[in-house]
Amino acid sequence: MKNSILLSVWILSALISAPTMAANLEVQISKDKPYSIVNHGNEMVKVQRIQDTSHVIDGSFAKTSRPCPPFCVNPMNIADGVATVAELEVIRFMETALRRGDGVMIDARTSSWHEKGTIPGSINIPFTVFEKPVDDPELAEVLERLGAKERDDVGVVMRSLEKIGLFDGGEKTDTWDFSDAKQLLLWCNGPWCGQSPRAIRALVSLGYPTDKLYYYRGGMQMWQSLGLTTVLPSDTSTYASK
Amino acid sequence: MALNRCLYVSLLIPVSMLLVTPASAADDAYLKMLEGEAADVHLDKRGQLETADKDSSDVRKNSSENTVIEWNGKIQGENLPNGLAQGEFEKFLQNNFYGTYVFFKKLNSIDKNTVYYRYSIEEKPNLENVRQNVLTLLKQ
Repeated sequence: MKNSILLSVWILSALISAPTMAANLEVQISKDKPYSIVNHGNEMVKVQRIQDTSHVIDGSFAKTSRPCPPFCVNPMNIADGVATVAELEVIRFMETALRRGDGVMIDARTSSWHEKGTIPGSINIPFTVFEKPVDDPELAEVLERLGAKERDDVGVVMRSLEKIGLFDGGEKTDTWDFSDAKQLLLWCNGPWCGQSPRAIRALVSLGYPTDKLYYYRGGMQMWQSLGLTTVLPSDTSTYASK
Repeated sequence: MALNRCLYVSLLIPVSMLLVTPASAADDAYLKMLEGEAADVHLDKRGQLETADKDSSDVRKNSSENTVIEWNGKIQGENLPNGLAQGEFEKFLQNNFYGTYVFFKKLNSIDKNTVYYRYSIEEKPNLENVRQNVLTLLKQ
């Protein structure tokens, strides 16, 4: 008797919950996040995971081994003060900084990689651009696009006062003011890829504040392994760098 | 003295070239290897969207969407199914609420995105809110 009551309660609850279950995705991003909506160029893109639980990754990111050097495994910390992040933090970044406009997601790979597919919300600025000489106009253009301001001739005295803290010089160098610089989340092909680490190191050496830099170490390798949405790049996601 | 200077210069040039060349050569080799890898690279197509700067009313190809959200249920009242991709959402309006879709179609792409975004963040989306958003944006 008791068992039959329990059974009927179980069937009833299953019937009640069925429509709700049907509306949910079987493979969610996390327990409380089935998918996310991301600005990508002029469009909004739904980022979710592949729903086929029997799907096995296909394509180049199924490959396990590439010659090392140069394709060696990167450490977790790529530069002092630069936070290393994973997929949930990347999605959080998309939903906050990127949506507000004070953050930029950078696909730091060369354009030939980017063209094959990218993570939604990213723009392509190849690492080679950040490694250009400090007086290169292309580098200056990119930094300005990222919110940095080129400084007029500051003068030795003023700069010295800034350095000792008498004037606000916290996020300034001799040539750049990074006070309004955007938060940057950089990524490349994965833990074996040196492109975004090089971009990050170059930015740090330019004086970009490290607390505004994030390194997504998993990169495309992990993004693909989790079956997360990728996009073929639009014109607006490609930085015109030749 | 002049001879010494000449000697220094003639020594300095090859030495500095030796110092500079390995780094740039290594960079070139790295870039060459990167480009070599990139030539054959292809992503898993299952979760890939095709996007371009085109009118967002185009239904984008997304093979994963077919397995994800299929709205086969009845429309109860004027509740909308949640979890639709932007293309699906527009198609859904077109197929089920053509009147609203006619006005929606008149919006520019940014406003269309806004309507879709507001729909996407509602826990229980309904047509009335979509209609209101469309009309408000049309009047602006």
